[in-house]
Amino acid sequence: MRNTVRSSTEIPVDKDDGLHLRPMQVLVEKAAGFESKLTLARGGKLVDAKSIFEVMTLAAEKGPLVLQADGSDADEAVRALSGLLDKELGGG
Amino acid sequence: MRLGDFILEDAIIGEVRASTKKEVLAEMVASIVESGCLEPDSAESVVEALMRREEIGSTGIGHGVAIPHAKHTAVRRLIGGYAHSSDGVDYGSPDGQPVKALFLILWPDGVIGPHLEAIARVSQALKKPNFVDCLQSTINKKEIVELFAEADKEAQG
Repeated sequence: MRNTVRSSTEIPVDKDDGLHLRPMQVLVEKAAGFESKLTLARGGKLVDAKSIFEVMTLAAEKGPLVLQADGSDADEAVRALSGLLDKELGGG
Repeated sequence: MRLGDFILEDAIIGEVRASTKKEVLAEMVASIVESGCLEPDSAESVVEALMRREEIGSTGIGHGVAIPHAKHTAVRRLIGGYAHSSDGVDYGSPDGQPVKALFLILWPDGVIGPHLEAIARVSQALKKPNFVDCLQSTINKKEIVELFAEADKEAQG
């Protein structure tokens, strides 16, 4: 059995473009595949990264996204999801 | 921002007649035209803009909800509509569920951000306990308007 670990990273969001629906959908879909508890924070608001309704409330907040994972696959989750967001941000 | 600030009461459809994604979007845009917030000759082009966005990826977000959205030069301010489909629309949502509740958002081309605030506001309402269930179980326009007003009141509270 693997130990519970915590991993986190900060992902910049282009302030001229913002956080659109598409990257949020892709993030939540991918997040469901991880065992770790995943949270996403932006502008002082903290939400469950596995809930699309919660993640979408971050759309109009300002600043970077902070992704945090707690669980046995925390490192993999942060690596995969931050890579995905880097690629998706700025699109539709 | 309140739901009532951008969702036009005249553009709330208790039960859509159309059954395909494009037809439902056209019916919703037609209701925006009827409300007087969009010129009739722009309707087709607005539907095309919405469908172009759907081609990037479905705006179906799961749980039977979709948030179709597009910017357009013919749109003068942030406006929206709502439609309910009892049969559900095949929308290509990530969870495969047919869409029964559609929130349409339109905003002027060249303006950045107002739709993000609208999406955030809609999602704030969606995560309210029972909101989606209540919304999906009514075809009564008056009840839908009341649900939105109630959600707005709670958010302000």
